Amino acid sequence: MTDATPTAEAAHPMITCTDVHKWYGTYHALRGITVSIEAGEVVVVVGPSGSAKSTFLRALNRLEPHTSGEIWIDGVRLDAHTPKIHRVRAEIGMVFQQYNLFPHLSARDNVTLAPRQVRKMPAAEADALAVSLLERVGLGDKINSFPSELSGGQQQRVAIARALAMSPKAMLFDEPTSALDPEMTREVLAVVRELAGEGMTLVIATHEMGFAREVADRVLFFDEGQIVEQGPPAQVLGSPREERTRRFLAQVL
Amino acid sequence: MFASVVAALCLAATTTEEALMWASGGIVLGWGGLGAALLLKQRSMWLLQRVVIVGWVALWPLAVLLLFAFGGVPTAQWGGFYLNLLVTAVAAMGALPVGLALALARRGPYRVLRWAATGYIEVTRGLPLIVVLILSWLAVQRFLPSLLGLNTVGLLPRLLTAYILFTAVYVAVAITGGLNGLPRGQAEACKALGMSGTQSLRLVLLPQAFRRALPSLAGELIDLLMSSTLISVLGLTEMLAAARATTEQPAFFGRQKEVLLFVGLLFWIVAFTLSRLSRRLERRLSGGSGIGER
Ligand SMILES: Nc1ncnc2c1ncn2[C@@H]1O[C@H](COP(=O)(O)OP(=O)(O)OP(=O)(O)O)[C@@H](O)[C@H]1O
Ligand SMILES: [Mg+2]
Repeated sequence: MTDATPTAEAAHPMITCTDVHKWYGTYHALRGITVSIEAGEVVVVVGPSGSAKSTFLRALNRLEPHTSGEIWIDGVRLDAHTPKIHRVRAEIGMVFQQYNLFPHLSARDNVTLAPRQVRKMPAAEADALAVSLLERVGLGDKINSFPSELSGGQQQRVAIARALAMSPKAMLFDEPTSALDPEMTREVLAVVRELAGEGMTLVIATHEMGFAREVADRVLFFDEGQIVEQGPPAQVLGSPREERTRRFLAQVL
Repeated sequence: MFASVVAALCLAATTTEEALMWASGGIVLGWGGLGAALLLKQRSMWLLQRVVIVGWVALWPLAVLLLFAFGGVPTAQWGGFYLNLLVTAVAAMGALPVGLALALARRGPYRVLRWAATGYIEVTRGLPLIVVLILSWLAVQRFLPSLLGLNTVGLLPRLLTAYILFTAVYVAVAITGGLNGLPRGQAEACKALGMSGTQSLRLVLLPQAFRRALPSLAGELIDLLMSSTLISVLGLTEMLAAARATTEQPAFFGRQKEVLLFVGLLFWIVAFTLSRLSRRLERRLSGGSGIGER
């Protein structure tokens, strides 16, 4: 039972992975990930397509159960026996490449749904929260719009507001701007940058190298399901030690 | 709402029994209520869902109670177009929750329920309605336990049950289709927000699945109206049977065409109204939400 209760002292990191493996059937997607992420740290995950960046992020809130190894989120171990996995998930926001907004709900209702249902927040309070969060992401005038009435960048910003509404301890971004054009990418990255500045723990998979360099405290370079190289962005992206990193950077830059 | 009015007029014109009026009133209210609730604005979603669900649950036993309990009118004496509408409305009302339950059981976490629902759906899907109706008439008479007095249940209630159990399968298939058609990201977004499986079904997946299922559900409703004529095979005088009987009377000799034309027109009017209403509902529900747009 001690596994399920966050330990009182703040000594543990926000996220700890120890030799995490993930098999999709016979395909070995994550091959021994060991990493630990401190509260307030901004970690950017880069790597070629298919290197299991998404699989890694999705393992962190158990959207994809890992096959072996240990994942600890704020002192709670994730495994098949984790009681009330949804309580752990409620503490970790996730923003998807495809936004995944609820199309039958307005921006406001997208934001208020989880606080009201999961946190049992009173309607008026949730409403005020939605207004302030949507204003914060620059969508104060779109509160009553439906997702189909919003641009991709606006939808992604609603999705960020939706995740923030749960007051998460950490947020996972899986290529939040890959489906967006440069203008909309800027809008969304501005919001993420702000979160990073406020001390939110962030794990971001992205192909935006400039952005990675700017916001990251640490960059993880993934290839074939392994962390090939990690360190400060200037080092990993500027003067990589590994041949594979260099080859990847030569391709994307 | 237009359809409810038409239905109410039809019902009022075809029966004078007070109890029947109550029963039909309840049914029309149920449908009207559902329609009105669905047409309400999105903002009142939580309230709306509660109203609709509670409404369905509450109205169903109420309707049964009214059907079974009113004093004096043996069900065998009911007749005419009223009977067609009654069968359609009751079967639709009953099939919705039963079909929903089947659909949920089939994708739920309990293996036994999953197998039972899948088996029931696959078996029933392979049977013609008429066979199910005759079964409910013949076999059930023999095999229902006499200790509960179930074997004395009247013909009409038994037929209605058969219609419900049969139609529920098609409702289940439509809802399952709607659920399967949803992008995987919808369920994942719910999970990532910490919602439980029940919460995501109730608040995110089912509302969208229903919208997607609406066209086929409306089709089922119209099918149901048409197949309500099948009860004449079992000796109940629904509209078509009444028409046939009419043309056999000396006064109507040689007028089969007119009578049949009239009957056809009647069915067509109701079917057309239903299909228009469902189109309206579809458009209304997809309004601004981007679902079900073509
Ligand atoms: N559900 C799944 N079943 C089987 N294989 C999968 C599944 N999801 C991902 N994979 C495989 O796992 C590997 C890693 O996929 P993942 O989506 O994590 O890569 P990625 O680094 O996020 O790539 P991208 O940059 O294209 O998003 C890929 O080879 C992919 O084919
Ligand atoms: Mg990916």
